Amino acid sequence: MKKIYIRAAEQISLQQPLSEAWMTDPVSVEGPYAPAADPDFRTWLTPAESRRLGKILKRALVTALSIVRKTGVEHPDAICVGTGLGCMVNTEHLLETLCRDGESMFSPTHFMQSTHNTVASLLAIHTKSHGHNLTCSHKDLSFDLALFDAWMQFRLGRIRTALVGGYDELTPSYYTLLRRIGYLGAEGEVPGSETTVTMLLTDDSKDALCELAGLRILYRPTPEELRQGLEHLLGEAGITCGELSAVITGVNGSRTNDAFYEAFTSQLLPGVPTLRYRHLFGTGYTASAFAPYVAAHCLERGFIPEALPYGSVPLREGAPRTLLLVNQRDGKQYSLQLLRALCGN
Amino acid sequence: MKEPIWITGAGIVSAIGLDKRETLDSLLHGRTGIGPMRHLQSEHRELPVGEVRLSDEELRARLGIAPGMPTIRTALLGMLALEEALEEARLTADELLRTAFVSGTTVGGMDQSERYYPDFLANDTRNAYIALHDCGASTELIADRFGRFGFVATPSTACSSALNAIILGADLIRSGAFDRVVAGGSECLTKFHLNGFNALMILDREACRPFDATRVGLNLGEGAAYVVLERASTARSRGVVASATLDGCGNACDAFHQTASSPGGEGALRAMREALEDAGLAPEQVDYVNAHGTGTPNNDASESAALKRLFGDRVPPVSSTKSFTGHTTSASGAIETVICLLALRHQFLPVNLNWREAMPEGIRPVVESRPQREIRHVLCNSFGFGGNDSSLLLSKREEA
Repeated sequence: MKKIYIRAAEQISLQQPLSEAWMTDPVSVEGPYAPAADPDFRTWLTPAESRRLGKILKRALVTALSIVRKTGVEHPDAICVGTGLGCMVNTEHLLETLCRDGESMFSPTHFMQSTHNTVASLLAIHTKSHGHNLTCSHKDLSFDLALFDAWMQFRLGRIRTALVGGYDELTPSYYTLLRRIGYLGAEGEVPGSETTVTMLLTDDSKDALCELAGLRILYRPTPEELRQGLEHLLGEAGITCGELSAVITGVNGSRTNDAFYEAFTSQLLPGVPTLRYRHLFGTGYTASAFAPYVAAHCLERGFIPEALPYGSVPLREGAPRTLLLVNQRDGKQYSLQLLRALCGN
Repeated sequence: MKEPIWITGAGIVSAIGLDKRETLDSLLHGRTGIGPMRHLQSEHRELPVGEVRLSDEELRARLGIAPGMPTIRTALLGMLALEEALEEARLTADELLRTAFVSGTTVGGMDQSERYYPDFLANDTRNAYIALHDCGASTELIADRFGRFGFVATPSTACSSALNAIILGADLIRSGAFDRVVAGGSECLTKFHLNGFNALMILDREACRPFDATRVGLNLGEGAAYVVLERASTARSRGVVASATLDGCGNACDAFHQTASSPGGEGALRAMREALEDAGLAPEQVDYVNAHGTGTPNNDASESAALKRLFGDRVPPVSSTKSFTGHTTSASGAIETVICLLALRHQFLPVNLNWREAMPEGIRPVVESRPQREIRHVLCNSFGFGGNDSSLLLSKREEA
């Protein structure tokens, strides 16, 4: 079976945009809600694009353009996108119009940029990519499902490169709605935030950050099924729990959320060091996209930034070799990913 | 040689029926479901729509859902269609554990969001509907009614969501992740997208006329449909039979414009070609094409161009059944897949209603339901905003 690699990964978030400065010099984040720190779009986009495109589109496009520039892969074979709420700013604008002004003032421009697949479409137009193009919108697993889709396309031998991304934008008023239902804003929780993560997957190890060695998604698993899922994932990659350098979880400070990760790590991975990332990047529907982004850069640079470890198990000596990523929502749906350093790294 | 994917069950709900039997009857008798608005509370009463005939209350009653229980119309329609599909496939709750469920939608819970949005902002009375707004919520509401599926996912590629759900389902089987997948989609009418399409000026004030020279736009519809896809060996070992197989899938991107299709139908052509290549079939083996055929000037011209590029001067029978159901947006790919299954099983060509005058350079759609030859292989097209163009190749199952 051919191997799959993460060749490049870029982000726009609460940290410095299009940069890995967070690894040594993280921006500390506060407050219940924090918008992303944008780069200077004018250096990447034409004035018309800057004016016409919504923020989520500009961010996605700029991270993709940066990857194209870095890797020289101009026309990816597939584009796979995950988004929890799609182009929320435009959707919210239309909902407000509908409730305030009735049905006579609807704006076609906002509607055209309000569907969930607007981002994947824009990326295809800009990279002139006519190949496989899919958007998944499934709560906190949206990005993980997009990654899984790309993974299957590689496994079926259909593609050699794929642009994969997780994107969500969040307005202060929609943040309020999500807090009302307890999705965001629990006591002690890291900020609710926006996500832009784009990565390029290839079947070629040249210049890659790491290998994507396994991927598994489970719905409503029993504890036993979860254990089996993890066992199969590790077994297929030929590694044991003891060989894991660390597990990266989605703990975010919310007690109910963190309890699921605590149960997972303590029962299935005792003795494996635990890492977190949401205290740096915030939390939200596609925040799980930051996990492979973080892991890929740690494996490539051969160190775990000081800001990541939590819990009582100390990090092992030496460069990280294999990282397990776990993402879950309400204990109902789980995603497990296995990332491995390149040989000789 | 790829192992065949059998289709062992199907369920459908739309303006022309609440199940396969009613749908078949409407198709054979040329009875459209498009008419005056009854359930949708829109100011645009002048716009004809293809509504599922049951109100939310009637759907709840039929499904035995308590009146106080928060739900959304997309989920209600989906439950009805999924029930029929699971019944035909004779799937038990135990077997669902090893079955994936993939359901496309874009609207999700928008029908309640647009109703209660002022409450969302002001108070806690409608919080249940905030939680049901996103696409994934409707998929899980539908799935969880029937037991515990082993995997769920929600593709959202605008109007091709359901067809892409079926393709994702086929990929799950071919990649070895699952032996059985239930895939399709569900979408209800909302003021939100009715007004969106209206603002884009692509809605017809009269009954839509796909591929007609005088066409001016589409009529929106709603509904849900699912198919049960199963590895042939798995289906055989359960002792179930299939009347059709899913032989080819094509997912391509027009990469032209956010909402318009390219004049040459590049994405559509690529999707159809890919589906044929995947199935190992030549264009002349296609006996019927269920077109995307929305009735907008842009789509039908672009799709005609793609069909002519693929088939040359020997275009097989083509029709758009959106003249029956209306454009059921994110559900359309699955609804039209089930219509193709009915055509294969009952050997008829679904006609293209309201077609009178050929468009310049356009295809001439089917107006006579009796086929000239056996229908063995059909293409089903589904295109979406963003140039998300997909196509399936479905075949009548030949007895081994």
